[in-house]
Amino acid sequence: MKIQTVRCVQINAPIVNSDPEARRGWNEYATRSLPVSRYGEFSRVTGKMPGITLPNVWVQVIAEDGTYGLGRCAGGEPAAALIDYYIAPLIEGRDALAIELINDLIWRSHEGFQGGIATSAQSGVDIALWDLKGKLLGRPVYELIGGPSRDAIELYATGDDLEWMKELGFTRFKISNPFFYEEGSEGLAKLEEHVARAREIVGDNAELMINPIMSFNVDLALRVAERLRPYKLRWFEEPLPAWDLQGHIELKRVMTWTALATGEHHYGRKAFQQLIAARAVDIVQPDIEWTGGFSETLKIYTYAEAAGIATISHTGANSGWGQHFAYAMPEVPLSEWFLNTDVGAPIGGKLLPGIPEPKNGRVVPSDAPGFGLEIPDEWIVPWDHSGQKRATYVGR
Amino acid sequence: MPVSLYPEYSRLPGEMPGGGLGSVWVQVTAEDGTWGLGQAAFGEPVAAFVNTVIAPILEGRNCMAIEHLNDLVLRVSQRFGTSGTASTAMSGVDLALWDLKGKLLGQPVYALLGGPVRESITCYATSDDLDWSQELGFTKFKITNPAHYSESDAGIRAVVDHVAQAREQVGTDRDLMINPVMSYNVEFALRLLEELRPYNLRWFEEPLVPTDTEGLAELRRSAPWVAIATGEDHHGRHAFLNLIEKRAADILQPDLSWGGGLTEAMKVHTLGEMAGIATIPHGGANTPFGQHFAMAATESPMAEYWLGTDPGIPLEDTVRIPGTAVPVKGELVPSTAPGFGMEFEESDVSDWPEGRSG
Repeated sequence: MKIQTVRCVQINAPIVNSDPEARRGWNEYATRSLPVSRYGEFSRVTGKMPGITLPNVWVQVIAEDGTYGLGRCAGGEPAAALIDYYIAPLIEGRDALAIELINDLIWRSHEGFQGGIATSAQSGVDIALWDLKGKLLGRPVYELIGGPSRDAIELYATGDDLEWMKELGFTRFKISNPFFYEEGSEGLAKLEEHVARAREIVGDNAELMINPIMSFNVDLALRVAERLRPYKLRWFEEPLPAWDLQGHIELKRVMTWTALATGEHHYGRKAFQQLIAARAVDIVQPDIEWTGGFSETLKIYTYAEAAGIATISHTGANSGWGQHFAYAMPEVPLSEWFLNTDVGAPIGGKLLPGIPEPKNGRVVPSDAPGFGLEIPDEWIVPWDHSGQKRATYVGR
Repeated sequence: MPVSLYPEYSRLPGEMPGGGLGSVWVQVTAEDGTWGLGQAAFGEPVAAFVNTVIAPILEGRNCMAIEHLNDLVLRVSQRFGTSGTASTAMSGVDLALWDLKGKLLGQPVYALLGGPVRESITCYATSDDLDWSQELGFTKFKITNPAHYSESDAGIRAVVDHVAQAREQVGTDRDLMINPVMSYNVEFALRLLEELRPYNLRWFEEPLVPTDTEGLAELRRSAPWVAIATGEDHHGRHAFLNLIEKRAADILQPDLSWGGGLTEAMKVHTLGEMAGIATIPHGGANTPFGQHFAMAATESPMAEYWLGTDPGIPLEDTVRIPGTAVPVKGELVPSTAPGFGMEFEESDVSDWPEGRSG
């Protein structure tokens, strides 16, 4: 079966207005820190920071018999242009099942600018190819990759609405970080207060994690690790930028009381191979939509598995591909549920049709072919290259 | 071979102790009656492991969940050793599961693995009958090794003569490899490599026992003029990760019927690929399993065709697994039939007779 068309699309899902009476979820009030927070002029609400506002791009791969698969990646118009103008002509007309060949062709053609946007673009194409393969063979993707390995996926919830997350049945929690390294001792005190309050709400025996998203340098990461030692965190996530391999090595050697997790901004197998070969990490967290795709995540998993390291993909349970990955592979102890709805509202409110929502901190993926998406054809429209807008940034 | 230290034993492969334990085939049958076949090795101990340990754990489970099934067997075997007998037994089961999956989904296994990644597989010939290998159209050659390290300088002279003769016969621009099958130690290998330097070998294969990772790393550092290949006696992902991370090999050579099966070989390929190291399975082109691997693994530049039959007999007449493709002028294209494309009938399959050596 040959690939007829590869194209970027937009999914025009009907807009569901949130209940005006509902308490807004943490994404709309929690101030957080990212590397750009060094510059005080920008907002600290994630959706408003520069670099975070690039929209997602959907990719549709259509086989010659009309069957299609859908994938998604980050990177907005730059990724969409790469897919439609460069990747599509490279792979149209080829065997739709030969996913290893297609990935290898894309890697080798874009070797000069791997990482970031190019790797993200490849992710969208690869995910769509797996969805297509599952549909063509009439099986859920988790079976094609050798699963399931468990009855249900155990979840942890990411968010600051801890009371609500507990009420939903979650028993593992990851909270945000409000502190950027240049804020020194005052910031450190604010962070400790944030963690202490969270520990008090979730109780002594619940797993608690924190995610500074590259907001620290080695100096501050070491200070934070020591300061938070009494709170018995399950893991400390992505304290350093992805490029700081030596920093990860040092932190991993020193911080023996808490696991070191990272990976959502490590792009591609090579970055993970270096991290793992140096034993600079306890848990790797590739993002399937950013790191090169489903195939790349499986390769990263394989290296980690051989080295005795768990793979917990970034925001895995919020997508069909993340659910299928976690359901299939043995060394995936947990999956992340990123809470993105109002307090009290149905937590699956932003899921696409066909993707099951968590119940009591667990989820079982759909057993429909591919990743189980049930998107009506009329929601799928071509990506509008000329209609993309210049970004505007808001201050604090 | 290592046992050649004791001169009382024959040096013919089939007559050496440990060498006479033959193939064990594994059949996995799904509830709808569809079945897959896989080939393991090493006779009754392996057959007993399949029947008494693996079968009771796996029967009744989802036959598509190959990662899960492999993981279960790995964990069950951990106490008494996941390599050797356990990984060889699992190889047969894993290959049978892949054959079954291909048949159930109506696809050749290489398509399930994400291939084809090439139009045909380039093969090298393993044989000392170099004139026959050349006549068949092969352009890459691997020869045997006549010496054991206990023979010291006389052994070195014997190997050098053997290689010199082969190089003369194949010409200067052809890939030529030698396979001592664990017959050397580090000091013998280093002195020999110095003497072999003028013969421009493509690789030097499995000079040491698989446990001597430090020794392999030393050879690799000390003789940068030749690649170090090894792996047919390394079983499982962890042995290969150790080789890779200690930079002890240039080419990884897992055996699909010994080292854990196709699943494990694909994992080894991924580890190698991530570290920039090629994977060329042992005897890969002789079996449909290795052929499907080579069609799906990007960093597998060639495959081994072991010439085990008399010169003059056409290769298609030597095929032991019906449906298995043979190289033509050194190039091979596997069957596109579902599973591994083996053309066995139900009547070709019979129960394993207990106590048989193979």
